Amino acid sequence: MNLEDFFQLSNSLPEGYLLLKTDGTILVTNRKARRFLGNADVNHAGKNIIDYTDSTANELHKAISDWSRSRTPIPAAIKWKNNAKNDGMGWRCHGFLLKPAGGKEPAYIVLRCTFGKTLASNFISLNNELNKQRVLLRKLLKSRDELEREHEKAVVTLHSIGDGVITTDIAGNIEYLNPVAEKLTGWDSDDAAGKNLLDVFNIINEITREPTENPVARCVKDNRVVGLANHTVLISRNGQEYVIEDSAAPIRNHFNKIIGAVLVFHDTTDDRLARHQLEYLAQHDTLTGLKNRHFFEQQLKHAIDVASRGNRYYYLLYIDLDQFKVINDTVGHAAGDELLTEVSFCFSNRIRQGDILARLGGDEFGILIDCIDLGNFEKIISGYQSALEGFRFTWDNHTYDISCSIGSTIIDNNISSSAEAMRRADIACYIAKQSGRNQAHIYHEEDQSAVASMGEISIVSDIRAALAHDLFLLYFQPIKSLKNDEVIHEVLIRMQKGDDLLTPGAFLPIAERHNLMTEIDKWVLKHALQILLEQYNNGTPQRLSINLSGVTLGNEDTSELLKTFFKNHPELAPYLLLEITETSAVGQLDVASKLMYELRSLGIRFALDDFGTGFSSFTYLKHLPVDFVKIDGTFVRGIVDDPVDQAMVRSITHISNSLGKIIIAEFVENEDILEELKKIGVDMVQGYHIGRPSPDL
Amino acid sequence: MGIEKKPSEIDVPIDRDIFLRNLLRDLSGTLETVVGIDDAAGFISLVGQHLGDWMNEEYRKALGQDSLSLEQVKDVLVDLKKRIQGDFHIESADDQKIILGNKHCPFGDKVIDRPTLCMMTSNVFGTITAENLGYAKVCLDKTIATGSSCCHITVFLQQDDESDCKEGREYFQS
Repeated sequence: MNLEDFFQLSNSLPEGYLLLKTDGTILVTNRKARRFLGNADVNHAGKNIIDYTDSTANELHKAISDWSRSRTPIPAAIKWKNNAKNDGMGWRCHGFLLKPAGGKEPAYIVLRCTFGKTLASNFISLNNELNKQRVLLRKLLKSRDELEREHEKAVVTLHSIGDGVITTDIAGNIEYLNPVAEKLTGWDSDDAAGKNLLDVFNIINEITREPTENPVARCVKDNRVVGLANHTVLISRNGQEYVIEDSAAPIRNHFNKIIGAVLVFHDTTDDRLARHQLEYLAQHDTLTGLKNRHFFEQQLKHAIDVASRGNRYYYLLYIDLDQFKVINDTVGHAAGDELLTEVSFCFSNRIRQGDILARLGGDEFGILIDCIDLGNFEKIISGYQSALEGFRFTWDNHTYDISCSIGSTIIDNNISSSAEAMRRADIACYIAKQSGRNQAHIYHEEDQSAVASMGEISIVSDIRAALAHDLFLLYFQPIKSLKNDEVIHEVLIRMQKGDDLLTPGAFLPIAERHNLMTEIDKWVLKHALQILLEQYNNGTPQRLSINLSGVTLGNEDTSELLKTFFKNHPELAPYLLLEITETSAVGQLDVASKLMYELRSLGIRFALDDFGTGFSSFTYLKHLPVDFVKIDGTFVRGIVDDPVDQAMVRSITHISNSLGKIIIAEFVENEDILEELKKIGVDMVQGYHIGRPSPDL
Repeated sequence: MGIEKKPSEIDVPIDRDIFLRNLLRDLSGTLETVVGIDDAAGFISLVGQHLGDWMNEEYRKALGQDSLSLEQVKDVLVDLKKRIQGDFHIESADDQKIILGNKHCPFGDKVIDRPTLCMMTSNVFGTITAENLGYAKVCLDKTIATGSSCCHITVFLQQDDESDCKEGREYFQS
């Protein structure tokens, strides 16, 4: 059998075989090899394999040389035409020497070709896989960088915020504390890590002192954000206590599964203290600790509302000390204050549960008594009188007998307003006082005419006369800036009565009760604006501060008067400051706000007077368009000796300043008070030490 | 904390030789993994054959000979390995065969588990011997690559009954 016959037999083999001479000439091919060469129907004998490759002659020669020296098949390092595609499929060829027996015959080379995956295909797959992984890795690195940046931002944020933040795992074990949380708990974040929240975040109820519920456990259990219970106190590692507020929230992963919790809280100790103080002061008289006039009037209004429905009634007592003025004027204010304190104590011991005792101002006290029969009521009245009968006031080795006059009135469905009730009790008290010391009188309808020729009614007539004949005088008291040269003069009023010059305390409360305040305000405004204009025209403009009473705020005429004047003289607007009391502004917030916004648009500035004694809410301060806050003088007077007064002034100054308001302190009566105010940072001051009221501007 | 040293001042087991041996170990390992041991051996045989041609040519030129004698071939096989840090020696030699032993592979420990690298030796020995003496059949009786402590290699110089009975790679003069 010759070689060709042998190759014919190999047609059935799955591999292709080519018999070559050592110069590359094809001698014989089997069928599979013919397919490899591109045409299964042609033998290809006599052709050179170089015609089937893209290799150079040198490359082919080298390959044939390699094959021709090895009996072991060696890979064909040849670029076959139309071979391996991108999918890596193609022909794999190995060449080896076929040496005929005997050694005399010429050498032949056998080229064995297999179709399928080429060796390169594995490299291609590998390369593709590597490329995919490289892209994936790049994405991962990018995500990691972004994640690190986000993490960095979150860490910086947590370090910077003013709230304490604690994160825990789902079991409540601590993972992290930010610096504020470290400060408040007294625990270092590293030391706290791994500990249970309750070991580090020791919270109790402020009132019961019992441990409060673990907020993290609750938020995890309820699967929602939960707020801390009210009155929560955090006890730090060193025993210090902080009143705190805020919340705990579950932390969820991408699958919305809870994996821990975050607790956010902040220290409200100072806020709470200030709020408690302000709440207390809003309802109490600072000297005696009794309820104040504002609170009393609210309760009185409520009682009148209840009584107006006809099923219930009350009694109102108006008590005036008989000798107070003498003691206050002759022995001094300190003695007067002490007397008021001791009398308050006596009355407090008498008060029944449910009744309301208040200091209404000066030496006047009010008591609101819940419905009892008349007989018992008279016993109560005599009880208050006898409370003072055994009382002796001692000051500087002198002893004084103290008694009081009591006026009272029933609060039933005939009473329409608190002003009416107060007026009746006032008249009754006046009648009692006219009857001598230590007397009491219950109001009757005929009392109104009986007092017409006396006392208050006489003052009312004087006020009307003063309005009609210009018998009021304007006084001016300077308000000086501690920061610059600015001076504002507060416009005050005096009333001529014969040869006497009455101060406001003698006639303004009566004017209020008899609805004469708006008339007085209008008189003051008219004359003060005239002075403002004259001073300006004279080239010596002065800044004036004018008080507006609560009832005037809602008065259309007054509003029009001001608007007209300043539309005609807009250049004067910066020289006017209008003072309204906190109580009147807040009491009729809508009306006051409207007027303030309207006048402010003209350039007029506003001051909130007597701040700290009324509602004392900084919220109102935030919303009312005022430029100045005038701290009530009772706080200023005690600033040197009383830490509470000092804290109040400091607190009001601090908060008002942060709201951009200018702070005025009144009642600056000596150098010590002034020095203290300077230290606190008050902007402007007013008082006898700064300048007394004077008719000259 | 110690004084910080510069990289140039520290002792790191990296030099040109270790680098090249690692490179070869890694290349052959990748080839074995990707295309399989047999095909990898084929590729390395091809490289070995070319290296054998190059070395044969260099020795011929250096010795001023067109063809090397049996004695010279023996010496060349030992010498070339020595030059590349192998430790081959002739255990016996005659007209029929040359038997060589080796205690240290030129690839060092990098050859372990890389049997395809032995194709380098087989082809270099086979090519040089066949080109000068007409025929060679190289049998790798023992190799460090497959776990033996030394290599034992027989180079048959003629086809006879003994050589036919042994497994090996045959090489012919070009």
